[in-house]
Amino acid sequence: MTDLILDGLSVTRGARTLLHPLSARIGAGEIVAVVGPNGAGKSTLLRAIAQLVPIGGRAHFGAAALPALSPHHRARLVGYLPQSHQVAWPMPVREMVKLGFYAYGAAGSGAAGSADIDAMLALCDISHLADRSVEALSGGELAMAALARVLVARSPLLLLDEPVAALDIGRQYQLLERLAALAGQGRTLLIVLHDLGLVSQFASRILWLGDGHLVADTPCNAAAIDTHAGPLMGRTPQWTPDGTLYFQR
Amino acid sequence: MTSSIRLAVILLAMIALLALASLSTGPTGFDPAIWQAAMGRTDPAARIILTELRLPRTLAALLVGFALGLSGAALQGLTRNPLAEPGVLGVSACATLGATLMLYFGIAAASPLGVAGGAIAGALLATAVLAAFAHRLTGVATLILVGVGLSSFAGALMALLLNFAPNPFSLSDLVNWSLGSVANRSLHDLAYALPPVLLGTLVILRARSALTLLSIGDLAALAHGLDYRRTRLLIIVGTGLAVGAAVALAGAVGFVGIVAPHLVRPWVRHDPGRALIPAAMLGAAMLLVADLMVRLLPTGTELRLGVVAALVGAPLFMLIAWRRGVSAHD
Repeated sequence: MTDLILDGLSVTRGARTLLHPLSARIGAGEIVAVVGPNGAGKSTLLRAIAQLVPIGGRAHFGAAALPALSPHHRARLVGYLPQSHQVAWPMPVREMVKLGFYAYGAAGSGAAGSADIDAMLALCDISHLADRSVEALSGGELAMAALARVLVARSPLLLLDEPVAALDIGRQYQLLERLAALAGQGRTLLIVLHDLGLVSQFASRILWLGDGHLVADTPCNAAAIDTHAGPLMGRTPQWTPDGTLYFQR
Repeated sequence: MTSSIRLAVILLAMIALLALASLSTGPTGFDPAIWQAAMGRTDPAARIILTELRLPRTLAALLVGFALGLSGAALQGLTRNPLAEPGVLGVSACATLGATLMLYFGIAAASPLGVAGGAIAGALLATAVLAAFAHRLTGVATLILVGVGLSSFAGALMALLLNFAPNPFSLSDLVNWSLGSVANRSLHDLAYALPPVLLGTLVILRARSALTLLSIGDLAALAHGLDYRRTRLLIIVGTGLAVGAAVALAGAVGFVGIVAPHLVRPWVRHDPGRALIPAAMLGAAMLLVADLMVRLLPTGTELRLGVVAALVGAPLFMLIAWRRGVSAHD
């Protein structure tokens, strides 16, 4: 099986440690939520796995040591969606999404590539925006276009940094349902999410981060949320009788 | 016909017409009769004027415009800033300084490759400094400021050379160089400039798809497999070679590199990779127009190409900056 294996993974910048050595093993098809307060190291963890920052320790995906791979090879295995999205030029959405094929060379220019783009635009619910300039998109629409770009590469490991942050409630659920379907097909997902209600419904597991440390690696259940959410977030989680999570004011 | 092919056809036709007009234009104005004289073998001077004066001049304008348009598009793609250009970012100024140093210390007189070598070295150094800043800085406005600083510093060193010029002839040489011109160039001069421009073009084109990918920002581009170091190196070396050779041939000519990519971008769906060659072709056409203006405008002394390019280009630069500022506030 293609497991993601992190062994003593760490990130330092100068004298400062952004991510203290952590180890975890994540199986194919898992949806792992990365949870923690601002500045806990969630984005750094995703960037470290994607090899976008220099790392200490080991990061393997299956048999492949991620730091040893060429940029193209790594990009085919690992898809990464950054937290913020920028496009320097007012290119049409379809052209921007097509950039997801970069690691495959000319593969994106054929009919199959075009069909893939259509499929991912539909999955992200932005087919109607295909010919619109990225400049004319709302924040949520741009986030969806960026996600479509990441998804066309069909990488088996997806690292998504707050993919639903700019979406309305309906779209948050719709997108997470579709991502869950991708996990059902065997793709591994690490998703940074702040909304523990969404986490509790979609994730199979939670990596709890605090101050650059992996505080806990737990299954996603009420007991784990009760134990770790309070100390990390500074708010005590409460559950309604029907099992809905909320935080006390 | 796709919009890129249509654009290429239009630009090629434009360049052909302008080149023909340039060959038919002399210091006394538009003079198509020269073709008849040159063909009819009645006037041997006509043939010499065409092949040894006007042809090198026309080809030089074409080559310099091509190099500047291409380099402008490449630097804009790398920095993701429509205001980036060899002139604005100080690449041309450093190339001019490199060439001037060769003239000043007499190295240019000792070797015909001296000026080209000095200009290319200056351009490479400037592009390397810029690329190092571009990697560390997030704000593109800061990069423009670095370019302005680089340009001013090279200008100050030029002023220093002028200050210490040993005689009025050297002074006039140095001043002429900094004004930019393609008049009185020979086919030999072109032979020294052509290989670096061609090589620079090939090097820049290797980064074509990477420039397109860079549109989505460093982090996202890296995640999609961009080799940033390689891309940066290709653009540094490519623009260094092309701008260096252009400056060696024509001196400092600004703003072509900013205006040409700006005008072609809507035709190529704002794809910085696909904008490269059309921007180079439009740059060539623009410089042919500027060199025609130089000869056709009724001024007592012939205007310098760099002066005309700046007079037309600088207001356009301000217009682009203003429109960019307005859209950023929308």
